[in-house]
Amino acid sequence: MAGNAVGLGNFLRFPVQAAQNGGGTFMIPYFISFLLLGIPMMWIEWGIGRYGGTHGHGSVPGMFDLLTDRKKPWAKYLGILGVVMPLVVFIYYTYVVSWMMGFSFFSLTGDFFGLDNVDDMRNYLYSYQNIFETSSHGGWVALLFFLITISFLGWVLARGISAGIEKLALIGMPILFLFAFLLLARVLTLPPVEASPAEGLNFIWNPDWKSLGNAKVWLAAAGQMFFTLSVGMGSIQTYASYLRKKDDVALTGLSTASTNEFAEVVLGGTIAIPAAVVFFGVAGATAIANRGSYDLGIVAMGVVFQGLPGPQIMGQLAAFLWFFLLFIAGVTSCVALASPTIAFLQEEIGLTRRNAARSVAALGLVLGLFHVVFYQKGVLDEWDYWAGTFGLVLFATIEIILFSFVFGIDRGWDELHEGADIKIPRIYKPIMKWVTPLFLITLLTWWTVTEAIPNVLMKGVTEAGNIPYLWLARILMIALVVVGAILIRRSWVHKTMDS
Amino acid sequence: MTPFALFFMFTSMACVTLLAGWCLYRILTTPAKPDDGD
Repeated sequence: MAGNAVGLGNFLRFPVQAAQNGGGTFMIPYFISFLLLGIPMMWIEWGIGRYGGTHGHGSVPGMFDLLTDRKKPWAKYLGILGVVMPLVVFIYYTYVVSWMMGFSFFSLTGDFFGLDNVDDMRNYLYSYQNIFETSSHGGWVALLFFLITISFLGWVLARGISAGIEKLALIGMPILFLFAFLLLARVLTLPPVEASPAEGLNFIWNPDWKSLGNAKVWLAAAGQMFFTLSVGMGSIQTYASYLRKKDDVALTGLSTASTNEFAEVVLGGTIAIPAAVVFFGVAGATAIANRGSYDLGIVAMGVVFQGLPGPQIMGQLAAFLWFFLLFIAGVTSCVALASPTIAFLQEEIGLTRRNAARSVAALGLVLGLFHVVFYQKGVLDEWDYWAGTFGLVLFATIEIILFSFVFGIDRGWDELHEGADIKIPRIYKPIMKWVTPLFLITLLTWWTVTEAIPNVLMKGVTEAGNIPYLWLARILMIALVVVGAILIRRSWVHKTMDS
Repeated sequence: MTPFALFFMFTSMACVTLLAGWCLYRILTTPAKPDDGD
């Protein structure tokens, strides 16, 4: 489960969100979001997942149907979000993860060493991402690493839970933590260039109290909490569906959340930002972060590794540790994201595990190629916004209303305590019933008005030529939802006929 | 670093580490439930 949660969100997205929202100013709403959003949602998703699993459902449509005691036909259609969204994220995330494989390789070969400024490094990255821009890389390079990554993922998924997913996590997670600690030690012992590591840490942890009144900071913190814990996706519910009725969800949910926060706060926040501040100063690091996760995680860090003291090989080794850590973090998240669709195809459509995994990998290949070919048109960011950002909050809002008000908080609370190895603090009952839903509805409403509506209307798009591609990206997502709804209908009609 | 930043950083890191550590301790010391074939 830690493999599911610990991902690129911890090492790339978190540092950027913190830097874009005033560093220390961000941490206070972040921890409040953890207590009032992250933890309760984690428990709720674990509980819903186990409840669904003990009734024969490994994916959210069936689980939502159960929450209404099968009395509301519309509930399973809302649940399609918990299958399509993680599938959509799986598809584009695989491409991003393949970049990490590519850059791990380039670190070992020292290919980008010599591009020791952000402009050259940024052009190197753009040439990799845009297969038609061949100044640094042939178009086949990104395609090759993508094909290797999707093949590897298909192989892991076809092997199933214990021989595939668990084995990947058992091998990958210790390596990830080892690499993270080594990088942490390297970063904190860096000699100052533009600033010291302590100034980098000060930037992350010293709040500007006035900015706490800025709603954007609170919303960014809440959004990060979703992404980093993988709540609002549907993947936790699928993993939890493998539990037995008497298996604990309370301690397990808390453990997953706390392991993720350790990786985020202790490791994720202490590598990229302090390293960037050392080499570029606070203003420089903020400017880089404002350009996004890949600028900080790939461009800036690529320059940082070239500036490390000692022989070049040490810089190459540190770069490899960083990019391979990101690859492991991403790949373990990818398998989690694919799991709800696999479970859905198995249970509701009747495919074997192997064929379901192959179907998802094939879909990942075909639609992933859409992102490989059209990345520079903004299609990946479009999918990331709707499925990986806004969609999480929408899904979580629906889910908590179903859990707390339709299923009922009393039943839900009892369900969470079935087989529990710890008691959930009693204060969380009113939090789950009132505080978290209110927080989510506020977040959803605010984001709909200030971001979603302008995004639908393409207000932020600077390149008019991208608009047809962005519409195509949207149509593909909607098509997946429609296909999902049709499959649900056919499956449920079949079930009704059988009974 | 400012004194507050130092305090905030160490307290936050200590809290998440202790929470994760406590969870790990509970997992390792809680006996496994018997499999009664359900």
